[in-house]
Amino acid sequence: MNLNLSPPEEAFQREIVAWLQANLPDDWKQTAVRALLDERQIELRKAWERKLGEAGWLGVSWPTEYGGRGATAMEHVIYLEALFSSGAPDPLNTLGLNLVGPTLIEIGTDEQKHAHLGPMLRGEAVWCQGFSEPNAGSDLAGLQTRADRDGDEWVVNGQKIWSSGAQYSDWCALLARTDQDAPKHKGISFLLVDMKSPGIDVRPIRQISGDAEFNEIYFDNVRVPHNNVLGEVNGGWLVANRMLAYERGVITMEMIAGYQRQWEELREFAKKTERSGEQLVNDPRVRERLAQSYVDIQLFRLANLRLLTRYMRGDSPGAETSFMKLLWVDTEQRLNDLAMSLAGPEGLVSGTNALAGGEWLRLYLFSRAASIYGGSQDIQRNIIAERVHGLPRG
Amino acid sequence: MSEDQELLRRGLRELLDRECDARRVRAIAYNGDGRDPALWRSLADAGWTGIAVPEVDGGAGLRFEDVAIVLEESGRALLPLPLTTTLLAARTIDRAAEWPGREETLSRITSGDASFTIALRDVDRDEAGSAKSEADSWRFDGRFSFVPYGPLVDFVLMEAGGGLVVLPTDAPGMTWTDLNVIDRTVPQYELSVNDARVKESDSLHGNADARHAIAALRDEWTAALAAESLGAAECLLAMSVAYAKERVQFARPIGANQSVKNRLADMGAAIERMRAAVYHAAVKIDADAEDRYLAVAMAKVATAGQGAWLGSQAIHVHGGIGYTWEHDLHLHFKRLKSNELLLGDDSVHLARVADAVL
Repeated sequence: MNLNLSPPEEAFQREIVAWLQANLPDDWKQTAVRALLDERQIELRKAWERKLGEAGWLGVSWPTEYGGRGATAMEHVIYLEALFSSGAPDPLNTLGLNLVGPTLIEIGTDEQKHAHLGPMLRGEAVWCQGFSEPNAGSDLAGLQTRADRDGDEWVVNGQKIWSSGAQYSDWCALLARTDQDAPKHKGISFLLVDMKSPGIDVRPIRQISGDAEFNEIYFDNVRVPHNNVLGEVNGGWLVANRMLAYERGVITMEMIAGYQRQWEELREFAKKTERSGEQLVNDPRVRERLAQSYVDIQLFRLANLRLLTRYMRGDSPGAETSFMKLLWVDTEQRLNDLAMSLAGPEGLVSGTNALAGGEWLRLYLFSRAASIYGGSQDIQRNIIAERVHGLPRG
Repeated sequence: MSEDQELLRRGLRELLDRECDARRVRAIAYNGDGRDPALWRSLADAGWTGIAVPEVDGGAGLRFEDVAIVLEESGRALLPLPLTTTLLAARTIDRAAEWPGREETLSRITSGDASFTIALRDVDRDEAGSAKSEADSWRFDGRFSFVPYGPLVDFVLMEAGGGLVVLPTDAPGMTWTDLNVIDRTVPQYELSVNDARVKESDSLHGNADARHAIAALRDEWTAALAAESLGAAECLLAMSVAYAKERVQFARPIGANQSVKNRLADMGAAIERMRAAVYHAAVKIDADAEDRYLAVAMAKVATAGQGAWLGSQAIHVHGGIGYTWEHDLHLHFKRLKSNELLLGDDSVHLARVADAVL
């Protein structure tokens, strides 16, 4: 689907597409990368991000005075879609570049900005998130990991869970309780934690796919300098909400670019595959389902662009972003159900020799998590009902 | 949405709140003869019938993006008068630059003295029709099903002899039969044309190829139904939310129950999709983009089955009262169901999407 691009946007698009053509080797493409062992994949994706960083292609939407390109939301979308359609390795530091970075720019101290923005932009520092806990999932503000003040430092103890990419991350955006007596939303602080600090133990969690993207992080008397508190002490809940609002803006566009790529793979598969002597793409049911997924993806994309356009005009992300999460899950699950249906029993085979390097199966299984992470469907529906529709709390 | 568009929306909403509430809708469409010259006069005097007519011809010269907002509002209010088809006819006539009747007709549309319906051939249902040439005119036979408002309007913009012609709805040879469809706010008629005389000057494009004009009109009409449905759906969601807050059972509003909240949240998400799809189609129509029909098909998919689904949810949230004739809900529900099935439902438009992208 083409956007109606303005001349500067077209120039921006030409620039990134040309750079990708000149700088992305075939054996670095995601289709090749995903056939590699986990550690090697991460190495390659890190190397790719450093390459993007050297050429100034990370943090494109950050303001120029902070080393970004000052790209508009629309340009950011163009950038992401160019990246995905070129076959580039999947982005690694999504959290740092899209969530932590913009939040630091908004409310960080000069010292914090100086320490962290550069490494992110150069592709040298990958970030993970330490929010959820075993007993604080949907009720995040009930978190129990504590940080106690000791001179110029905070001492962190507790356990985090569902931290994507923690096993290869350099920094962690951590929520910890810094006032045990305050109401639960008012005793939380937002800490920037060096993952090399003594006392941190990362344990990967094996998922139903067999992969381990998520981790538990244990904190045992981990010392964090006081200067690494982002925002006010005990004001972390607000900081976290600011940050999460970014998630369902641009990050959603990254997901959508991935869906578009996957949909095109499905289309090609349906064209070249024969069932009972007939091309799969000629089966009316297949056509209808492929069309339905196409419409899902495009309308999700358009709805999200509408929201991004409002942010560009200065509106703050609000509860409407919860609608996007609902569309996200429907789109992703329907697409992946279709992938497995097209694949047939071959879709059940795992491993790098499997169909699409096992990627369809992995994505299918991962799509089961979509309704849980990032605020579950149920929580999003509550948010919409209470904050958009104004219904009474249950 | 620009500030001008917000003003446009507010302007029509205020007029319709004042002069076309549910009681008036019922009086016109369900208890009356389907006409309301006073309301049509109000609309015309306030400029609404002329919004799609160029400024040089006395109208407001608005784009389809703005027309879509107007139709969203008229759909919200279930305006039971032929504004949609009149605005679409105005756009088609405006583009027929060579047609001798163009200026006069546009001016009569703007002044409220000419209302229009549209009769396009449905290949599955209607007879192809036949045209016989005479000296400066020809004779036309044909049959069209589902022509909105039929004899209640002044003119029909009709597909005939490979082109588009404008005839009075009471021209000799025209027979209208009320099909008694459930949505009385847009009554549908069958039109039989027997040996009707069509003068050369009735034909918008003369002997020129009119296929592009017909395709454009069909796409705009489809998008217009999607825009109406968006408005009707928004109204149903607002009614359902209000009801969930005021209806008390087990000593608390039913809207405090999570199952009710979930339903209302999902209705909201469906509307987000509809809105994105409708406005996107409008932009593509204004750009006369090559993939206009794809955007239109997506708008229909977003509003067709989903529109009727949303209507069903609204009835459910209201409980038994929502299933009564007395409650206004069913009026909107019926518009949504009608707009789902008219001009192609989900399957038809998904097939169009498939043909475009596979």
